[in-house]
Amino acid sequence: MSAVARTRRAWRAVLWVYGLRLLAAWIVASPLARALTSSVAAQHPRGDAILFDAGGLELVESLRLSLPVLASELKGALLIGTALGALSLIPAAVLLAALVEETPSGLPRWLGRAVELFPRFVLSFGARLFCQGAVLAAGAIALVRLHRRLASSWSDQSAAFTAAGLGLLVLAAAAALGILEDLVRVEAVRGATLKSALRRAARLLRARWATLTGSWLLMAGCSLLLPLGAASLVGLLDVSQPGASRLIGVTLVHQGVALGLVVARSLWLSLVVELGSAPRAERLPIDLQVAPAGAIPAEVEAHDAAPEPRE
Amino acid sequence: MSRLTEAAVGVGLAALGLALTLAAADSLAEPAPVAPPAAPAAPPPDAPARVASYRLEASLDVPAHRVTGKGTLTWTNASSEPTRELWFHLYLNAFKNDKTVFLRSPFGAGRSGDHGSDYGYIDVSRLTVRELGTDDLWPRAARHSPGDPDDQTDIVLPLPAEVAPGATLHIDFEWQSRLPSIVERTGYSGSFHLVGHWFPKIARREPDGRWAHFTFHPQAEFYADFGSYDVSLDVPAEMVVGATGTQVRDERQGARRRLEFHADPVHDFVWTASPEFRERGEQIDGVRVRFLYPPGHETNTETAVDAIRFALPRFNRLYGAYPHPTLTVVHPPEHARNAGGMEYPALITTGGPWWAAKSGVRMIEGVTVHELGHQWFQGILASNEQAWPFLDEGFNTFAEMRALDARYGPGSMIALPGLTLSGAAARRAVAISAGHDHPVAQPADRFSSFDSIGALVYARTAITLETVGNVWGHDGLERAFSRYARRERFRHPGPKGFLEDVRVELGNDAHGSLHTALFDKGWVDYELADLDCVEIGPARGVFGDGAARTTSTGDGEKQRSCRALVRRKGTLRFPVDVELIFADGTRQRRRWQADEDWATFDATGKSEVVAATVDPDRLVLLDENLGNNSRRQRSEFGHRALERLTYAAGLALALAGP
Repeated sequence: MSAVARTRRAWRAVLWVYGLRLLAAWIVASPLARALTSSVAAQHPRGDAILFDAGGLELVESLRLSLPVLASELKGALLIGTALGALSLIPAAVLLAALVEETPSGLPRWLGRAVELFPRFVLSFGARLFCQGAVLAAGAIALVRLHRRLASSWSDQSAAFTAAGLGLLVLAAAAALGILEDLVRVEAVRGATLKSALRRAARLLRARWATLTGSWLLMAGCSLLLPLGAASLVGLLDVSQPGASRLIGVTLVHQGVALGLVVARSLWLSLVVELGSAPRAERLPIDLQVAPAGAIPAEVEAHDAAPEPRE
Repeated sequence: MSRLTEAAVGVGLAALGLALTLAAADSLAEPAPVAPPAAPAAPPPDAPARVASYRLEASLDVPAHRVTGKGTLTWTNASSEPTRELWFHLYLNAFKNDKTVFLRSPFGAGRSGDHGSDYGYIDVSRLTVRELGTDDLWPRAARHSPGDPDDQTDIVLPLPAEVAPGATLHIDFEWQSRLPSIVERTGYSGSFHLVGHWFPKIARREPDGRWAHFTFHPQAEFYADFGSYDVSLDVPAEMVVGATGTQVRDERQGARRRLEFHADPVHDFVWTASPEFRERGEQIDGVRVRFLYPPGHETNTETAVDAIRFALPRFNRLYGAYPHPTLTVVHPPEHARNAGGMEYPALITTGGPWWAAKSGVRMIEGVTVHELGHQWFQGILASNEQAWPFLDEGFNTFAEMRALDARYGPGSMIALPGLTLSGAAARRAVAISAGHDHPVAQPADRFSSFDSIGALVYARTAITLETVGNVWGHDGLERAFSRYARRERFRHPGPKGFLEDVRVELGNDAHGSLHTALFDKGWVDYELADLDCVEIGPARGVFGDGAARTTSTGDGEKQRSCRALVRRKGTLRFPVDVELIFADGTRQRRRWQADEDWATFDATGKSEVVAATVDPDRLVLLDENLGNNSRRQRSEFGHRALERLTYAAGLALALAGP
């Protein structure tokens, strides 16, 4: 099954993830919006349309006047956002469960599976964040030192490009950790223990690194281009002008982007599922080499794909 | 001849001999006063007096970051009083050690924001005054700034004889300067050198005989007399050199180059040298503009060229013609970023990382236009920047803000997809936050910090002038600036003249408000304090007498009577509009002169007032709180803000989430 077909088949899970993310974003944003609009916009005849005026006079004034409240709300929003971010492991697991299953089921089953997987997902997520944090911090320190050293003797651009090269390597390492975690999750949804999931994921990453990297870059590129394109479009719609239709239009564009991001990620995960489940030749080359074609009994082959006993 | 006669002649000769001997002895101890020339030639009215002209020869030792030089200063006592002393600014000594006025505070490192990592200083090794003999006078000079044994930036040199008003001295001197690592827009970084404040600089003597001398304070800038400069520089042959003035000679001598520059009239001379510089030339509005930049900054330079193409003709038109044939624009490399954003006569430094021009933040345009504007306010008008910093930095920030607005519109500071920010919006926030801290018009060293100078001298002056222009007319304000800049050209003006020009062009109210805002911490806050509507019908009661008496129960068509209460708080007064918005969508604007502290605006009709705003066009940028300028009957929930923030939070969750 292609990644597109797999994603299409799991459309309910995709929508569910999108909906929950929208809800989480709304929960985080609401107090901030209230704080921001309480000063200038609340009493202004044009309402919060003035916050989007060209030149930013009212926006800056709103930020200035509401800064104490906004700062406090921002702290709360960060806390809530972190908690919701952690909880969003459940919809992530739901999506994976929907993408991995070969026989379509439904939300209750995906949800049950997601709750089951939650501890493993938390562990892998925490480990990934920790490793990524360490890589990024070490990379940032090295980057600053390198740039400082180069800047005094190299041309500005050469120093910046060299430092950017190192930066890309650091980002690539961080991205590789993210890819590895996705592979681990897929294997975990399939029933592997974290240890064996990690082993299998690493093996797959080694075997299919070019396909995986290419696909991930495609997904990341789309995820970057979508908001940039939307920003240009939204600028044209200009919500500082009166009219509910402009606001509706902007909302549609933005939510289209949000949905697009979920779809892009679903496509990527579908591909990971496909790669992880398809060609036996790459997963068990030795078996195929020693056994003549058709010599492996069906039950042995099925055992290879069956979930491992849970720990 | 009789004996008596002989005796008398003998006594007379003896007396004469004694007198001559005494006179000769006196002349050994104290030369005769230096008198003015018989008929001093009066300069033409629009030309500056060349009070302090320098002829300098200097050599740069690149590995040691050292400049060795000798020169002649031709100085005229242009004041009405004689003097027995000369004051010299040895600015480079500000970076000599951690105890100088400039470096002693751990909380402020001047405009650059950083202390240098290497120290610099200036040593005068010899100074003679031709009119006062051949003795080296420098040993007589004070060893430190007045009252401050740790600072050597403000040095008095007592003279052996009085210098009369109008008299001219020819002062020969030799010196050596050791450049610090880049700090406060002078010094070195790698092979890049910006050589500023590098020679002994005589202080300006005011017309009343006061010396305008001061220690180099981290918050202050400079002040000097005009003169002509002829400077000969000896540098390694691979160095590309930019300097104040016009290059008149470039001669290669083996591994060295000798370049000569002439600048007139200027009050300072700076130069820069680097083997890395790329160069671009452009003729703009009659001026040969030379851009020096490090490799990789081509886009930045293109942006700077564009900014100068726009701003130079504009400033020429508004403030009078730029007086020099050349202008050098230097973009320092990133490792020397503290050399950026500085003005010297006929040479400015810009700055920014190599990608700055593509970032959407107009830092290249901003710094280029700002430093260019200084050519008028600092370079040509040459006010005392230590005593009245707002006359330079404040006026110039206003000039820059208006120019960038004219060129780039509402995105004059930031222009990103979906977000534009104007210079006025950004500066207003800064200006308002510090409005009660200090008066704007005060000496630089009286501000509590450089941030305070940034907020008040730069931002609040600009926002005050923008408000005056918005309220009383930018055309009139431009005329006032034009009169001021043309009349005071090369005359080191104080604030009075400009305020008078504002009075002439915009009237007493504008003059009064501007004066209060600049000198007396003037502030204002307009408030739409209340908006109330009641329903009214025909009058009820008993009317008339006798047979004509009637009783009305008030039946009939009802109307809505609304009242908006507007208040003005603070010491400033600007006439404003008050806008009433009715339920049927119609709007009414009424003028309020704001002579009183409050006023009410009534409206009666079929449609009620649903919202009201004081100063709806946001002309009064000095208004302390724009959040209280409006009232509406029903406040509106911010759907747009919620939508945008929800989207942003969703993106953040998508990025950082699992």
